[in-house]
Amino acid sequence: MTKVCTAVLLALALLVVPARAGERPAAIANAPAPPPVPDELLVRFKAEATAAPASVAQRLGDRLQRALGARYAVMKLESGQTLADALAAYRAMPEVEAVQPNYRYRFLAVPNDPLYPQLWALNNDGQPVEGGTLAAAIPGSDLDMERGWDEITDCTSVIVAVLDSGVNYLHQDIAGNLWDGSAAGFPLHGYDFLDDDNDPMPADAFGHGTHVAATIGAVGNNGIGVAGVCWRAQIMALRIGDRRGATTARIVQAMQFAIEHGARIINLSLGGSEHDPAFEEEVERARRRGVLVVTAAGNEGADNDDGATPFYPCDFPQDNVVCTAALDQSYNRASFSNFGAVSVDVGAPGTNILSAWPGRVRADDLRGWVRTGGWTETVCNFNLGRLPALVNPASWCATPPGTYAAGANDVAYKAFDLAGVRHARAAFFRFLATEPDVDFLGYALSPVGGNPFAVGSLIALHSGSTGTRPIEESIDLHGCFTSTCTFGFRLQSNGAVADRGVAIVGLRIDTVEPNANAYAVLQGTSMAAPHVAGVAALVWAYNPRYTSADVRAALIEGGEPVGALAGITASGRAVNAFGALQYIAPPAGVAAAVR
Amino acid sequence: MTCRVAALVVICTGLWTLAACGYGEADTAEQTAAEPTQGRFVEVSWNPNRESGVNRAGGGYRVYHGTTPGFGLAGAKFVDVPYAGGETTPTRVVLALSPGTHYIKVVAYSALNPAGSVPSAEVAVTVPAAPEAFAQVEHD
Repeated sequence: MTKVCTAVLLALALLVVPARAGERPAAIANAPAPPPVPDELLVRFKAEATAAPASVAQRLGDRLQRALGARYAVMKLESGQTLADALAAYRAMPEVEAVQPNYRYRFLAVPNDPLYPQLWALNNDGQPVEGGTLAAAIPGSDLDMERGWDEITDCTSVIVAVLDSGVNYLHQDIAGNLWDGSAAGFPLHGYDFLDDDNDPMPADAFGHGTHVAATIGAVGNNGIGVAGVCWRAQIMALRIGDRRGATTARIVQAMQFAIEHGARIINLSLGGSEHDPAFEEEVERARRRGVLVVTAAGNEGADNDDGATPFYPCDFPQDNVVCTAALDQSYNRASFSNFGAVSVDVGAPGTNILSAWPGRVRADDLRGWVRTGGWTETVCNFNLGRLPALVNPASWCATPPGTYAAGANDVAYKAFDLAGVRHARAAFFRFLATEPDVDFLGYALSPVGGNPFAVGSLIALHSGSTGTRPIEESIDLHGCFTSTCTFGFRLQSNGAVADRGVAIVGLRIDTVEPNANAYAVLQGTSMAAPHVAGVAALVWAYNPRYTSADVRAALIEGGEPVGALAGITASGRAVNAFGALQYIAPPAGVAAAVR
Repeated sequence: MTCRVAALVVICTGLWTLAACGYGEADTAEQTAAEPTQGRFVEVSWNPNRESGVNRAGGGYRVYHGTTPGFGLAGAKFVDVPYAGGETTPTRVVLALSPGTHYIKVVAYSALNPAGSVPSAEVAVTVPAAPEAFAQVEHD
């Protein structure tokens, strides 16, 4: 209500002074001014005017929309005039004392980040998300962030550990909001438990952790990219895995690190189906240390409580765990989201979530490659549809398929500009069938351009058959961060048996870039959890005396009842920032004694 | 704050017809509701809430009391205990209650949430029907 009231008060304040067209109230002078309503005017009538406002409007071909007190009226322009012409026309009317546009006001706690209008999770006005799936939306199905931000935007007093695939801490929209671990010997804001060093950059260019981190705490109101739930934050970046996932050992190590270095909230956008005693023990230790663990319900569309498909850490019984289901833009359960009337606590937005990405994702169209021998650029039918493919032999897609040439030494390569990147990966799918251990598919790189098999270095060799399903490859392009990097494939065969050959599909180059300003749309309960972790940080910063149990109670009890969550989550509620900030625990320890 | 409680008790004895004495003002209905002159003071205390909003200007507690177990808050008598400066809002109040059993519950509120929390668990207190008269104890 606060913002609505503010807007009404501003509008009323404006009305007491006859305003000239073009005049703007000083209170929001520094905000970029949205244009006034194009087909409405506010008219102030003279005290002695006798004509009814409706008749004045009618004389000018317009319509009285509503009266605003005794002497003001809102006119709906229906005469087709421009706003400027209409202003002049009304000013010329004998009954009119003053006339002005119907200005628009921005609510003050709305960040100026250019992609903010697409963050439906924070403020849902029914908007589509560029690059997202086509989705129906019910406005208001959101975290109610703008009302929450009227109270607090700064979470820096609460360290939030993101145990994930690493964070590009040089991303323009994250760089200012990271944990300062310098004093503890971790100047790069965290630790990499995968490579066992103190650099938690996502070396495989997998952006999951960067996306999660920015949902919690992308710098808000900085005119760049997105806004996090927290505009200011201390994100501790702990890399525990890559695109293949994480392990118990790394999760446990990272939780220990987080607890020892002062994190109050641990975000775990991950899960698995095996009960894991070591993991549970660490969650229990976090509980004893007053650390809240926010986690994801899982993406299988399954019931975590049916005994057949458990999901951990969501199903751990510790009461410091907040397990989160994903909601869509209409606040229905996202079709992929797991649920559980006991284990899943709350819901939060998890579809079409736009957030930061560690660098550019360059999808290659598999055209324009330098090719020798049987390498061919074509389009093939796959179960996912017709897709561009780089194949050898040319008849790879034909029915029946052909075989590659005997004695082949065929290369295909292409140049990519990787100057200035921090990490880069070539990701693609490969179908392969060669004479095992005799005929080979090779990958090579050259930082100086040209045929990488002639002037560069060989990275890998594959032989044998992938069957009918492809292998997903992710090739580290380290050593090739130049403007002339060439990456390529070679098919080598001996003179004897030949096989079906190779097809490369869906190739893209993922980078991690210093100063990145890249963003991506993802779906998942992984995206729902950080919304909750962010609200938890906001609530904790707002109530510094809170315990982790208090924060959890505020998230749950301050949540918004959502029909789609009733009966399939413990609370039946979606986390709501304003509700959680507004929440007050019932007083405890009440005693009464006659004196 | 303890000192202040003591001081208020003294003031309250002089305002015997008030239903209750607290740090803050009771609502108008409360102040005009006269209790029987036979009665005693009941000290109500509770743990401080940890919400910042309860412990700053605009925040506080309402101590509701009634004579029916499980009484509803709507229309019930209460004493307001608002924030009065310092680290936390007071968490004690002394009520002047008539003889009989009284049920008490506490609601915390803030400027952001004036309606306040879910009420605390209800506690019962029985004020003796015949307060002992002061009497001099004779000594040998």
